[in-house]
Amino acid sequence: MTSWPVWTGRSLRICAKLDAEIAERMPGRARILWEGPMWGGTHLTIIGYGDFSYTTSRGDTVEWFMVGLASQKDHVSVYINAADVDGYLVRKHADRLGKVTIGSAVIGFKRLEDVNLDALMAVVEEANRRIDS
Amino acid sequence: MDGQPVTITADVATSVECEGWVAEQDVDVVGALVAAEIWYIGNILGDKEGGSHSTLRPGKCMPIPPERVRLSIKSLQRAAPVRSSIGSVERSDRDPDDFLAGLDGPFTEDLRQARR
Repeated sequence: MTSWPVWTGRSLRICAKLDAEIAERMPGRARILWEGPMWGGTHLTIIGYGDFSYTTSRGDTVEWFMVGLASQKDHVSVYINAADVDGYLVRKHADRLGKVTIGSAVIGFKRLEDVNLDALMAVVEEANRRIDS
Repeated sequence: MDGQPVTITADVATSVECEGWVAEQDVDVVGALVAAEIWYIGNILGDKEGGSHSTLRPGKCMPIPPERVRLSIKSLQRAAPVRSSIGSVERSDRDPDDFLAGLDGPFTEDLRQARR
């Protein structure tokens, strides 16, 4: 059985703060809600900033967002779907982001004070520039 | 390319066929590529059809079997924005502000304060 996202409590407060921070750094970009089941069945709601599309080698057009924000059960996820010649931006800046967990395109943390917010927003700004590149 | 290292770089087109005999673990992905899907076909002894495929990512070497194999690069995924695999999440018609405003619980005021 799927469960609805946990946009409550501490994670919600963090997301509310980050929503404003990200939107400020991505002016004029689309801010769209994305919803659906994650792997494993849990329903996820993401606020996505800066939409884009690209064509795969198979010819399929894929729509997605550049930066995403989601409240999880006990942590917050910030998705950064950008990469440069050195690979994913998240991994490139991992050592500056603070006490966070790192995936290829996602940063996870439980408390806002665990994150280097300036560094995180710098990655957001860099990702925003890549939408047009 | 017989026995020589193969480096797949960002200069390679998005989709390309490239064949060559390579020694084990001498394939790497560098540059503005997220992944390369590669089939390695047959081996130097029998040049069998089939084989298996592997997805390479930057900085990772391909675990090629001890015998030398022929590579066929089927597709390359460039590093420009890519959709991560987090499930079947799709674009919603709901407005993010409506979503946030519609949340129940004692944190609505916190939400307003946090967004100031």
